[in-house]
Amino acid sequence: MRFNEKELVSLSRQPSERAAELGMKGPKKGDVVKKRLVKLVVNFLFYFRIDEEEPIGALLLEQCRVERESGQVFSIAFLDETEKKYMFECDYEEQCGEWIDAIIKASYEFMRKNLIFYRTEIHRLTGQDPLEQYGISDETRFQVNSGLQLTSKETSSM
Amino acid sequence: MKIHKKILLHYQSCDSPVDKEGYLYKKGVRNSSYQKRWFVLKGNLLFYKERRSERELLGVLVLEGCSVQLCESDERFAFSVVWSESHVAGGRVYKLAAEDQSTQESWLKALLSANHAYLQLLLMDLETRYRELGGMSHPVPLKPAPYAPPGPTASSCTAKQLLPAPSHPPQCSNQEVSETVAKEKCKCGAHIWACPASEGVARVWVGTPGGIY
Repeated sequence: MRFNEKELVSLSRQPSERAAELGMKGPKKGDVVKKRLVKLVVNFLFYFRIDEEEPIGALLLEQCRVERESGQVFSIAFLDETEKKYMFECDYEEQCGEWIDAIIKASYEFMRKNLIFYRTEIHRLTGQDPLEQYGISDETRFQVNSGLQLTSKETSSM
Repeated sequence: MKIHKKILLHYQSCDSPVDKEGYLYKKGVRNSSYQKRWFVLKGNLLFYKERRSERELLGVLVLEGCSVQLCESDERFAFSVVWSESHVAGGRVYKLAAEDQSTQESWLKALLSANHAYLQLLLMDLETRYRELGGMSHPVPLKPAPYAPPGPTASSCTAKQLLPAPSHPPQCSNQEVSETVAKEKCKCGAHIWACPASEGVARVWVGTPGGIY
C-alpha cells in the first residue's frame, strides 16, 4: 500500500499540539522501553529517536483506545486488539493526563461526534442550524446519525 | 518511516462514516496515463483501490498541508492535490479527474475541507456558540470506552450522546438531585450518567456499542 511519505514526514515537522520525550514500548512480547521524542500532529502520533530529524514511525489515532495504566503511564491499543498496547511513560502524573486528553481530542472521529452534538444542541436551543451559514448543512459527514452509523461493510483483508 | 498500515486499513474498512466515495481517474506515477480507481475519503485520509469490490488498498493520501485546485490536463474535469516544493521538498502533485463537472466540483469541495484544522476551527466555533447559549461545555467523554460486546445497533439505542461525564455533579436547580448523579446502563451496553430531574441534561454516553471509541 502506497502512501505519501514525503508529505507525511513534512507533517511530522510541523508545529505540534504536544511533543515530549517519553519512554515508549511497543505492543509485541519482548519489546522494551525506549526513550523517544513523541509528537502529536493532527491525528497522528509520530515518534522519533532522540535528536533525529525523520520519525521512525507514525500512528494514526483513529479507532484506538487510550487508557491510563498507572499514575504516569498511558497506553494506546489499536484494531480491537485490546491486549496489544503501545505504552508511554511520562515524567509525572499531570503530564500523563494531558497526553491522554490531547490524544483523544485529536481524533477526527471524536471531533466529528462533538460537532454533531453541538450542532444538534444549538439547533435545539435556537431553532437554527449553525452549519447553514457555512453552507455545509447538507454534508453527509455532519449529519446527526452519521456518528452512530453501524452499517455492515466489508471488513479489511487483514 | 513506518506508517503502521494495519491501523490505516482498519480505519478505512471500519464503520466510521465515509465522507465521500466514488470512481475517479488518477494519473499514474510511472505510467502517465489516467487509471480509474475507487476513492474513499474518510476524515483527512483519501484511500484508493482498483475497484469498489476490491478489498486490497492500493494507497492512501494524507490530506494535510496540501492545496486542492483545478488544473490543466489532457483529461477533462481534472483537478490536483498539490504539496508545493516550498513546503515539502520533493512534494508531489497528484492529478485526478472526474467523469463530469458536478462530480469534479463535489470532490473539490470535499477535499478542500477534509483537513484536520478545518474541522477543528468549525468545532471551536460551535463550541463557543454552545457555551454562549449556556450549555455546559466539556467535550464528549474523555474516559476510554469500556468494551461493549456487539449487540443491538445504535439505532435501537435511545441514549443520546450529549455531555461528558461531569467531574462534579452538574448544576441543577433541584439541589437534592444534584448530589446524586446516578449511573445506569443503557440496553445497548453503554453507561449513562443521568440527572433524573433534568431530562436530557447531563445524560452522557460513555461507551459506544461495538467497543472502540
